[in-house]
Amino acid sequence: MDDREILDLWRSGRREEAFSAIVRQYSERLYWHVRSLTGSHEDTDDLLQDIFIKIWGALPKFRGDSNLFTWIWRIATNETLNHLDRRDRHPQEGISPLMEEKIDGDPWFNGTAAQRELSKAIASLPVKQRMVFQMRYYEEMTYEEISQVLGTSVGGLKASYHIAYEKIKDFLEKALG
Amino acid sequence: MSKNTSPYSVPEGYFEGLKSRLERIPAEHPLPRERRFPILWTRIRPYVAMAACLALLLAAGAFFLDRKAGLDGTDGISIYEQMMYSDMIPDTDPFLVFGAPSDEEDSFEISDEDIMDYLISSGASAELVAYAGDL
Repeated sequence: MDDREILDLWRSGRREEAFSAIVRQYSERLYWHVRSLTGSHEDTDDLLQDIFIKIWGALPKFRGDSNLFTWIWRIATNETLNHLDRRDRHPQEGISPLMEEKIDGDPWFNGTAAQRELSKAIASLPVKQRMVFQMRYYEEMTYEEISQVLGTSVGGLKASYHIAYEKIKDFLEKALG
Repeated sequence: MSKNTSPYSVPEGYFEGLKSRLERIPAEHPLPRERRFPILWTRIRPYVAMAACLALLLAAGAFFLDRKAGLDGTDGISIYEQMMYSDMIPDTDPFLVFGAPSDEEDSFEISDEDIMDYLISSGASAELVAYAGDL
């Protein structure tokens, strides 16, 4: 079911069915989006509940000015950023001890040592660069899509991605030798 | 996910449980019922406000003009009525100058003297004045 069919369902008054369709369509992909930013399964699980409650509450106000995917991603990203602000309490550059601890102690991490260092390198980025890198590298979103979610110009996003890439490279060179 | 695979994993069967949990949200958080009246009122409110302002303006204007007319007029006749009458009745009309009854008189009576005055002022011939004086 695509976004247009979901919205048609909503407008016809079958709201619960439309919401279920959104859950089926986006929950898994949204999980990975949030997980890549929080670095924690438990935090992501809690956040997803809050995010979907917000989506359900905000759906009556959705006018279709942007597409549904972008709108959902914007809600999820804002909610995650608020959570990170509260949790880490230091949005400036560098990995927080809490974040490093979560990555090292994550029982649901099944990558290689290099991937663990990559996760730490990404977590050390300022939050805006981190989001751009995650959405572009792991989620393979286009710059235009990221631009709609974050409200930043495509040129600015490309610059952020390039800076993030250089920082990650430096981080990995130091960590892996 | 993508070709750049995430190194993270989830517990077995997690997404099925997540979806069924999230699908319960509408039942646990019912949306407030849409009320048509506030929406209608929101839409027509600017027009009602404009109409009220216009009505207020007209009422204030009417009150102001009425009050001004009452102040400027004489003997209960507004200044506009005076202007209108002055156009309709020339003040050179001999009847208005000499023939209008005075406020003191209870009845309208024309005396011989009045007739004579009228004839003289209206430029009647001497024969006619003489004739009238003989009556």
